[in-house]
Amino acid sequence: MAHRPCHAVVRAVGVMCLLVGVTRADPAPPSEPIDVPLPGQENGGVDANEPQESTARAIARGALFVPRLAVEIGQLPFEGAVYLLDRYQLDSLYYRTFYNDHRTFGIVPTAAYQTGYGLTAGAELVATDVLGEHEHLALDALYGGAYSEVVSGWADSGQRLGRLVLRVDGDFIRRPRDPFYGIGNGDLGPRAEMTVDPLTSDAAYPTYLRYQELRVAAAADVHVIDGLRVIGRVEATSLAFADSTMATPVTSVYAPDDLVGFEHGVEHAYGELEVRWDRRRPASILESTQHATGWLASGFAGRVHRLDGGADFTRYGVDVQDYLHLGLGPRMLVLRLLGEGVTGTVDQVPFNELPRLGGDFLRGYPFERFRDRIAVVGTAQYVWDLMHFCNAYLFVDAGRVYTSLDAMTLDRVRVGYGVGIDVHAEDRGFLFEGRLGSSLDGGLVLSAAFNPIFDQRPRWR
Amino acid sequence: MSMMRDTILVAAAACSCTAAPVVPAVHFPDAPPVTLVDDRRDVSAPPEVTPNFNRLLFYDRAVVGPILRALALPRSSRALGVNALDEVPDSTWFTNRIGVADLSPDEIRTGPLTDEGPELHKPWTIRSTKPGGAELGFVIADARGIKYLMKFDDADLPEIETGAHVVVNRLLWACGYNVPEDEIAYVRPSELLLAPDATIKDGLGRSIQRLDRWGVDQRLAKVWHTSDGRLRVMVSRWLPGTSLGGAPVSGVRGDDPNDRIPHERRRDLRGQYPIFAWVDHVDLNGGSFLDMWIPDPHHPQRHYVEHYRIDFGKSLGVMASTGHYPQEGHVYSVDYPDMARSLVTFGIARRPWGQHLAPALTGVATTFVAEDFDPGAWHPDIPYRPFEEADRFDKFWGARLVARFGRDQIHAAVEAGQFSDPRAVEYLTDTLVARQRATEAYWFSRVNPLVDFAADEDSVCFDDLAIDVGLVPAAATRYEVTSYDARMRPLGGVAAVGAAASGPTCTPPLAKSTAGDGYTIVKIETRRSGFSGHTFVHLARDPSSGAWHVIGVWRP
Repeated sequence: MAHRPCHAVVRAVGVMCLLVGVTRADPAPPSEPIDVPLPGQENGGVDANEPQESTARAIARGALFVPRLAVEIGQLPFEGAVYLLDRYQLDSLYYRTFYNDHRTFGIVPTAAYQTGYGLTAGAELVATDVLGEHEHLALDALYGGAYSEVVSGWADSGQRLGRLVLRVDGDFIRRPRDPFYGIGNGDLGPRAEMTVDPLTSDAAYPTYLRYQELRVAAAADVHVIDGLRVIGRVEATSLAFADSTMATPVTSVYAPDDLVGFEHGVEHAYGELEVRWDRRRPASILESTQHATGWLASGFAGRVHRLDGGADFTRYGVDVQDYLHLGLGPRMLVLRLLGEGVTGTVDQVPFNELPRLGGDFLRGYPFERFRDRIAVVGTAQYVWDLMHFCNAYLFVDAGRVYTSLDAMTLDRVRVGYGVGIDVHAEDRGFLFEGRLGSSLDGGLVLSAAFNPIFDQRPRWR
Repeated sequence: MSMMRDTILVAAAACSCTAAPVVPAVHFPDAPPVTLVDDRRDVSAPPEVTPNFNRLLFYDRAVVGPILRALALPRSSRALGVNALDEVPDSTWFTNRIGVADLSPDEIRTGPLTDEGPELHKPWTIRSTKPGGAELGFVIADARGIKYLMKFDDADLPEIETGAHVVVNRLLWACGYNVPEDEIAYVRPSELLLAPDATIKDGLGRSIQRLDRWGVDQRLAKVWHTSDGRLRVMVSRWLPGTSLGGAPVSGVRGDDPNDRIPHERRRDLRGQYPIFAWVDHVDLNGGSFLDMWIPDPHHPQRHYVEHYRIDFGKSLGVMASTGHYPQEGHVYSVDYPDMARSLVTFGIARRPWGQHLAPALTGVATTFVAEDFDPGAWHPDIPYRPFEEADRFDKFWGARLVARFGRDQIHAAVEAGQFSDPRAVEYLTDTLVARQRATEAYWFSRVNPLVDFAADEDSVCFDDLAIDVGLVPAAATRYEVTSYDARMRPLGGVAAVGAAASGPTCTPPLAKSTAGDGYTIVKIETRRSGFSGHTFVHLARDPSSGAWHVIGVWRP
C-alpha cells in the first residue's frame, strides 16, 4: 500500500487524476492539444511581494563587481586549458598518436623540470606486454642543453615468472649542477677565502658540480608472501665529476684533492640484498588514500667493490614506517625512521657515495644539504583530508649526519618542519605533492614531488 | 495566453504599505488547474547538440562556479512551471504518475519497460564501446537488431552498480521523470559477438579506432562475472530520436521554442532535490541528463524535444563506495567551506559521514545508510544550478512525491535490481523507507504540509501530510481559519478546528465573498508543538456549475 491512497488525491486535485491518469506506456499527449497553455503559462500564482533588489544588495553587488571580474579573467587560462582538453579529447588523442591500438606499445614525448637542473625534453619508448605476460620495456632519452641529458632503459619479466620478477636496467646521466655543501653537519657559513678541506672541516657553503653516471644493473625481486619481498641487486657503475659552469664551482671552495673520486671518477661493482616487508594499506574502503594504516620495515646491506683501485666498503640501511590511523578521512600520524651508513672512512668512500640528508629526507633543508658516513632522520607527519583526492599534512623531520656510530648524539640535530598537500588519483595512485618547509636554521624551501617520498629511500652509489 | 492574462496581480495594496500584508497579493483565475502544458510543438530542425564536455563542466560548476556565484550575491526566486495548485503539469520533462495515482508494485517493478528486453534475443553484437563517461560499457544490438547500452559491475563490487542503476530508474520513473528502459540481464562472453566495424569511442562519442576481440576481452576481464562465468549487465534501451546531449543547467535551449522556462527555475528540476537525496543520486554531471529530439508519435513528420534522466549507477551510495569517498552526499567533491573548515581545524571538526556502514551484502554499497542521512544537507557530487536555486516549496513538492511510495512499492523497485541475496533487497528497502521517513520529517516541518484541498458549499477540506504519514498525532494539531475577499479584506473572524482523527479535516462553515464569482481567500494556519505555518487557499464559484471549487493554493 502506498502511504497515501489515491482517492484523496483525486478528490483534491479534481480533474487531474481523470485527465492524466497513469498507463503503462505513458502515451504522448497530442502534439498541439486544444486549449493547453504553453510552458510558463501554467497559471501559478505570482507573488507581487517577492523581494525586490534592495539598495544594500545593489551596493554590495557593485562592490563585488571588480573581484568577480578579476576571478573571471584570472581563471580563463585554466578554463581554456580544460576546454581544449575536452574539445579535442587530448588524452585520447595522446594515446592515439603515440601508442598502438592496444596501448601496449608507444613512443611518447617526455619533458621534466627539476629545480636547479632546468627543463629537459625527449622521448620514451614504452612496451607493457612485450611477450604476452606483461613484461615491461622502457627506453628514455632526455636532453636539456649542455651537460644535461639522460638515457636510460629497463625491462622486467612481468608476470612470466610468478612471484619472481627479474629486472635489468641501465642509464647514462649527465647533470650540470649537483649541489655540494661539504661533509658533515656544519652550519652554512660565509665563503672561505682559502679552499676548505672537506675531510677535516664541516664548513658548509653551497657549491655545484657536474655529475656523470654510467650504470648497468640487474635485480631479482621475490615476492615471498603478501607484502614480504627479498630483492637482490648487482650493478656496475662509472661516475665522473667536474666543476659546474652554471653556479659556484665546487673546487672554488673545496680542495679537489680531498674530494674522493672527484678528479679521477669512480668505478665500482655493487651487490646488495634487501628484505622489505610492507604491511601498509588503505584503512577503509571509505578512504582514497593508498596507505593509511600498517607498517613497513626494510633493511639492506650491500658491498661496494671498487674497480678503480679504491677501498671496498659496505653500505647498510633501515627504513621503518608506522601509519597510525586516527580517524576516517584519513586522519593519521605517520612515523618514519630512516638510517643509512657506510663502513669506509670519508677518505675512502667517494664523496658522492656518502649518505645525504636534505630535500625529501630532512625536509625544510635544501636538497643534499648534509652528507657524512651515517645519516639518520626521523619523521612525524600528521595527515588529514581536505577534499576528495587531496590531503594536507604537517610534518616535523629531525635528523643529522654523523662521522661514526660512536658519534651519534642528539646534539645539533637538524629540525625541519612545514606543511604540504598531496593529491592522489581515484584509484588511490599518488599524483603530486607540494610542500613549504623551513627549519630551525631558517629559510624557506618550496618543493614539489611527483613520487611519494614515503615510498622512496635515498640510494646513492 | 488568455489564462495568463486572466491572472490578476493585485499589487497596489502592497506597494503603498511598509509592512508585508497579511494576505499575499496573489490571485488566480477562476479556471481548472492546468494539468498539461503544450511543449510538443513542432521543432522542425534538431536543436544544437550540447557537447559532453564533462571536465569543463566539472571545472565550471565545481571549481570556479561556487566562487563566482558567491560573488554575485544570488537571490532566490520562486519556481516556475507550476499550476495554480502549486503542482507540476505534465510536459516533455515530467509526467505525473505516483503523484496522482496509486501504482501497483508490478507497475513499478516494470517501470518504463515496453517489451521483454534483450535477454531472450541473443547473441548480442557489440558495435562500439560506450561513448563518454568513465565506466566500462558497450553499445550492443540484440538478435532483433534493437540497440542497447550495456554496463557492468566492478569485479570487486558485484551487483552494486547495475542494481542501483535499475532500482533508481524505477523510482524516478514512478515519480514522473522520463527515464530509459533499463533492466538487468545476464550474458555469457561467448554470446557477445563483435561487429566487424566495431569501434572505440572517445569521450565525445566519436569513433577513434577499431575495437577488436582483444580489446573486448581486456575490458571484460575487469568486470564481475558470476560463478558460472556469466556477466551480469545493465542494459539500457537506446532512446529513440536524435541525441542532443544534456539539458543546460540554467537558461533554456535557445533553438527549442518549446523550452521557455529557464531550467534553474523549473519546479520539476528544483523539486528533484529531495528525491535525489532520498536515493543518493549524487552523480549529476552532464551525462546524467539527456535531451532527445524525437518524432511526434501522432505526426511522425513533426518533432519535439523530450528530456530524460539517465545513468543512475552511482546512486544508493555507490559513488561513495567506488570512489572511496564517504563525503559523497554530504559535501560537494570540491567544497570550499568544507575544505576551509577541515583546514583550520586540522580535520578535527566533527564529520557526519562514515559513522554508520551498511552490512556486507552483495549488491549493497557500504555507504548507503539511513542513520547519517540529513535530507536538508544532502549535496550532489557537483553543484547543480536548479538545486542551488531551489527553495523549501520546491523541496516540499519533491518530498510529497517521495512520501507517496509505500513499502511494497519501494520493495518492488528494489526487486527490479535482481539482487542475488534476498537480504540485500530487504536492507535496501528498509533503508529507502527510513530515508523516506527522514525526508518527510524534514520537509513536512518546513512548509505547512496541508495538501489536497477541496471546497464545498460550506467549508474547505484538506489533508495534513505530517499527520497522514504519522509524524505527529492528530490530537496535537489545530487549525485556525480566516477568510478574506478578493481585495484581502477579512470576512468574519477566526475559526478554529482540530485535526480529524482520520481522513481529511474540514473547516467549520466559512464566511465567503458574495461579490462576483465569490472569490474568497482562506488562510489556514496550522498550530502544533514546535510548528506553526499557514497556507492560503483561493476559492471561487465555478462559472458554469456555480459550485465552489479550489482555484489556487499559495504557500507563503
